[in-house]
Amino acid sequence: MTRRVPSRSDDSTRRGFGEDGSTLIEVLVALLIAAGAVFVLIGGMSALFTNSFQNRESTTAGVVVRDYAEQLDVAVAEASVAAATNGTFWCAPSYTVAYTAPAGYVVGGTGLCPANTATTPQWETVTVTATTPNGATETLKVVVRQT
Amino acid sequence: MTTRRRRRARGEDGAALELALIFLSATSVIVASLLGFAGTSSQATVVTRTARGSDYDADGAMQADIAIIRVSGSCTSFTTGMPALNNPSAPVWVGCTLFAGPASQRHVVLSVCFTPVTTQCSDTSALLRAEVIFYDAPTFGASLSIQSWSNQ
Repeated sequence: MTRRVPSRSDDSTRRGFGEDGSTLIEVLVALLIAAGAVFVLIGGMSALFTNSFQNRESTTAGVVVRDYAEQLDVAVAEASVAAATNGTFWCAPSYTVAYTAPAGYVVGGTGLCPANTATTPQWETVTVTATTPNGATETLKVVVRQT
Repeated sequence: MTTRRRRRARGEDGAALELALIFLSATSVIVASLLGFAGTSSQATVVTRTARGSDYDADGAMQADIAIIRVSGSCTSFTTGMPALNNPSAPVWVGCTLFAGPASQRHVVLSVCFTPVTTQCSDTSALLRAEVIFYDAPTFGASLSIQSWSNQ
């Protein structure tokens, strides 16, 4: 009985059909998973940046319309007093408001005046609209009245 | 064979896959938490906008009711016809209470609260309260004076 001693070539052949190459496959699978994760991460971060940017603009637009509305009250009060002095109608479709919007933002207000009679309640709804640099709008409706 | 299996279990085969899975899990947790943070921020923006709208609706209803009482002469409470402008889903109600005053004057207390309300708003539910004096001389509703204006 002669015991066969495996040669180097036999060992190579056995290893070739065994577990050699499994690490490469594992690395490739891992790389694939990691790449997917990176894509998800990049997509998520992109969505976060976009969302944050839109939120910031929306918040700023909200502040702009509120500031404008506060100054609109002052402008209407002044216009109303001037109209009473001059004997003219207090109401106007739009007013000159002493407010400067931040760079890139546009804000304005338009309203519809009531009939100029003694029995008609003298109040006006003004729609204030602020437009962000990206074109999004923020709207606020305020009521002003004769002083 | 046993020796070989033990050696494999303690080796580094499969470590890359495990690391990738750990990386994937960590990434998922980070992205989920950041998206949650962004979602909270968006909700806060919406809530702020709604609160601001209700503030201006209450203010507008009060201004309109003052203008109406000024020319009508009656202490009028309104549910409909008031400008629920910014939050139509949350209409407001304006209550008016008349107090005795000198001749040619009308002293009223107005309060605004969310509907449904059928009587004067309580202090705790009022969004806005104002005390107003209307002067009816030399002409009816000639002028008015706001004595107090308090938000909740």
